Amino acid sequence: MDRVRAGETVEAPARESRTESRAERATPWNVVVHNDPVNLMSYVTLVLRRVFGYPEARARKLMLEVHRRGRSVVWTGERERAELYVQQLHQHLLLATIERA
Amino acid sequence: MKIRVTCQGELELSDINDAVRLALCRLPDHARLGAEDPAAGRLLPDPGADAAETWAEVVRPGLLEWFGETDLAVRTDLQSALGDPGGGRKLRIGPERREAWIQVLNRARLCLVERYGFTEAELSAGVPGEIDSPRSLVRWELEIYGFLLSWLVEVESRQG
Repeated sequence: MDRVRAGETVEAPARESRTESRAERATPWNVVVHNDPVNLMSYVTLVLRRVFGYPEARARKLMLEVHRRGRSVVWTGERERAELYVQQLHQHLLLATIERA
Repeated sequence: MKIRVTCQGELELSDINDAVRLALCRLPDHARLGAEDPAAGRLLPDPGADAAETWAEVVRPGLLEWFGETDLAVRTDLQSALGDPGGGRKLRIGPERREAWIQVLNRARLCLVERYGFTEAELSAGVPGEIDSPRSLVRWELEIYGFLLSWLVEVESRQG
């Protein structure tokens, strides 16, 4: 363990971890929807409209991206909100994950 | 079987034949997660980004509770509409039950595909010509459930 001499200043670990968590919070996160062969395309479009409030055209475009490319980033933003969206997508039985943007 | 949307926004199935009746009666059991069910991973997926622990503690219990509530709603509808083996050829799904039905139909489809290991090619190939095995019966049920689901999603998209 490092010794601390009188007069020296050290950064408190707690403060360091607060800085990290602040940085982590500032990092944007992606909500990703993954393709599966079972969910109906019309259903996926409906869920994207419901959860994110997207208009029909945008929801459909994202759904087609999921279908053709296997996955689509459907939202980007702070982690807490991203987790909430993933929770709602799981409630609607869509395969969804969060990842760093 | 006839199917229509009433002016109250109900989806009405009438003249339900024996095969469809059987498929509907089996729906809640298909949608139910059992112990060590191969469908568990699909219905309760990993959220990624080291959030699995939070999911296990907080989110999954809520999801299971939601599954139970929707199961009960659908079972109740089926019991009141088709519970009498001698009668019951009509089923109405009202707007207040639509969400539960969408959830259970979708969940049953996901569970069956996982349990029976249907491939994407099999799912795209359409229904089998003959129902001569438990697997072909389930493949046919997937089609019936998908048909009903597409109707409910259509109604929900229009009226939701």
